[in-house]
Amino acid sequence: MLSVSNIRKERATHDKSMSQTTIKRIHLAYGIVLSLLVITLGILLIASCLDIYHSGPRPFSVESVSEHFADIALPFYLCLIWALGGFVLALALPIEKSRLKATASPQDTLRRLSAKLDAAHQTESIRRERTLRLVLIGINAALYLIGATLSLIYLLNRANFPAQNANAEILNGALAVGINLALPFALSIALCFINKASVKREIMYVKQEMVKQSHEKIEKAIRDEAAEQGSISRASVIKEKSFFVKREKEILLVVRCAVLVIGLVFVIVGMVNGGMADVVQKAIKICTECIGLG
Amino acid sequence: MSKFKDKIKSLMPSKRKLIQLYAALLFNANLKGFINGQIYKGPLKNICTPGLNCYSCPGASGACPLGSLQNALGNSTKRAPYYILGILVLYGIILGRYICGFLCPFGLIQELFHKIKTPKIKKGRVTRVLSYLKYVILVVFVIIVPLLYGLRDVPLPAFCKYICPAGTLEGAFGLLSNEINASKLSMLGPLFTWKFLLMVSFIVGSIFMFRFFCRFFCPLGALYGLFNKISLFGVKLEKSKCTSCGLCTAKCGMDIRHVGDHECISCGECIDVCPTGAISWKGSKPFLMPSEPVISPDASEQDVAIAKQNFHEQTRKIAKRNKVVKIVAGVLMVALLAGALVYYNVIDKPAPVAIGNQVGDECPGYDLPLFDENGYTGETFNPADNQGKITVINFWGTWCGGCVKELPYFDRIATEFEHSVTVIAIHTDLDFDTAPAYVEEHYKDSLMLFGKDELSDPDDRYSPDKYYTTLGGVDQYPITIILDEQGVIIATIMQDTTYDELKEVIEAQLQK
Repeated sequence: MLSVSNIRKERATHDKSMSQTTIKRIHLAYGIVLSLLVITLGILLIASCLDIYHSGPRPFSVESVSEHFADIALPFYLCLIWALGGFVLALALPIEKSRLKATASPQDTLRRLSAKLDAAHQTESIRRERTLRLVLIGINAALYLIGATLSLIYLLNRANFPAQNANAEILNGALAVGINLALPFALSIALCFINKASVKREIMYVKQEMVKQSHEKIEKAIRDEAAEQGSISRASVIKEKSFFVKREKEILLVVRCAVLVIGLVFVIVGMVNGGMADVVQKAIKICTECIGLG
Repeated sequence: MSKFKDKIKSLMPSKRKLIQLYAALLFNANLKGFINGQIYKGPLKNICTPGLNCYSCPGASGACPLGSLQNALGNSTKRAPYYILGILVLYGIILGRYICGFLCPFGLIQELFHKIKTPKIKKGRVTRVLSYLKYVILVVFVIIVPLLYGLRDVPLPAFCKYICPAGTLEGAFGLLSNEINASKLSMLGPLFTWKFLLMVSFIVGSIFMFRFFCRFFCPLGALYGLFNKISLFGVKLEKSKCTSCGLCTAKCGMDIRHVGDHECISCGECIDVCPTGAISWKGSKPFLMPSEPVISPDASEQDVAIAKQNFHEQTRKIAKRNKVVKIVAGVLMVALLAGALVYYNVIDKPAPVAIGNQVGDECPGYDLPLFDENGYTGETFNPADNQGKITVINFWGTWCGGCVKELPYFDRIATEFEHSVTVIAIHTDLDFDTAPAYVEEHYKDSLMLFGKDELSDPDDRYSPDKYYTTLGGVDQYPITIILDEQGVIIATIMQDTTYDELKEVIEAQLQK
């Protein structure tokens, strides 16, 4: 039977959560409007630049560029004010931070559960799911390998880059690489969803087998007890740690020292052979190509 | 009052943000560059900044590692890129992607844009797959393309030229926003439109996705990520304490599978959320407070007292050590920043002011030593003395992509207007040893003359070239000056040019 104070507490909680819902809706609406303003401003900015570029013969002047950008001053200030308004909104109507959800990834869950399952309970369904994932990953890897090989063949063929029109040659190269890697990339995206479903199915099968396994162990324990053979002894197999795991710290130290020495040697050799002078001589001149001017 | 204090506290930047701001200021300490519109040209530019920071930014105090790597690979026929590779290896092994989380100015810019309150696109499996795109960009645009074109003696820093948003934002806008560089506006073209489009896309992307550029496009992050597991700095995960709860990956904005993998930028945001304390900073053991001693119920009172006393003693020692380390580190950091600001803005010599020869001025003369495929010819050429013929003067260098791209136009002009035009291509002092071989390979039978400029100050190898500065050049190549038959300047082109543009000027002069 509910007391009056309990009813009051429930109502207060309910009102508080309603208020938070309203605040979240306000924040969402604000965010959507800001997103639209930002995207619109981006488009207007790009359109202005294209307009400047196509407006007339060079040279451009500060005055003409300023004139073009003055046309989009109003949307810019509107966007800026709206963006600043977000900070005011966050102060005035703060959203309670939601707690982080501790959800282990399906792969980690599967790994943990599979470790507890005996070999005898690795059923056909479980093996089928694993094989499916392996085969799909293998196909994806093979497609990436083929795509990468074809891309490298194109990129390393000097005839495709005669250095007559670098912009067009680079564009063709980027398109060639893009086309070669498009299919494996599309398959990778599809695999994200296929693998997730497959892992979930395997988890379901593993859980079913774990239930069977635990029933069998209980029955075995009862039989053993009846035959007066003592309690169940769980065989815990302690795997021998591999050489690399045992000596992880030493190996890491050796690798770090080796890489550090290689880095230092390279720097010293580079200073002697003139590489350092190259760096500074290029860095003290404006790279007009790098900043998009010419 | 305490609620107000809490609100103010929540608005204050975190320690990581402060370090990011410090790094951004340190790597752009040449503040006078924003005022005088010129880049720093001193010897400290042989040091690469660890993060992405364009060296054409007026404030840049060091060289960009990616730009330097591409230039070095483009120069591979002349010398192996040991220096820049060594720098990258050292940065990688010492800091790894800690650089991305704490020291990269462009990373800071993206995080600031991400603070704008909009709906955010969360990470997922698709973004995890997309995160491998930056490795493709590293291999294609940073390594293969500069190498390929370098083998043809055409310097082409492909990533910088076609993709890098830091160059557009820091370099282009940093320079163009200053009135002194108004003439550079005439260089706006399709390349700038493309780069501007890309920059706006990255910025808009950063607003909606955490570190949009870093996660999917940054080849420097891709490179440093390879060192993450073995780097000296960064976060580490103690597997013995980890319960695979997934809180760390849930908190992280990057596409990590587990803490410390190649996507982890070692920002340390996951350390506080780990319920078992499995995540910590590498090398932090000497600074961590000891955990309370576990006292067995059978222990005597004396033993308990001793154990507690030892614990308090240890805690006090470590706290004192931590305090000293913090003070020393703070003092060193402030001293470094103050020193940098003083050096770059007070001690460093100001950039030379262009003499600014205008159209209509008489061209100053200079005896330029000529060279061909065999080296110096022993002759000299003075553009001001070339009376009776139009003189086209072009300043170029084999290290300059735009210069080598336009040289064929000058060669064509020299051939087509053989009797009325003299073309002289003046090579910089920088990399002059490569010029004769280049001329032999590409312009052996050319009617162009090839001259060599020299340093303004022979004792200072960072000083600009003499004749180049005399004719108004400051810090960019190529530039072209055209003189009429009396040695008077009729055109100054402070950027790369086209055959049509040159022909138009020459034909207009010939018709007069």
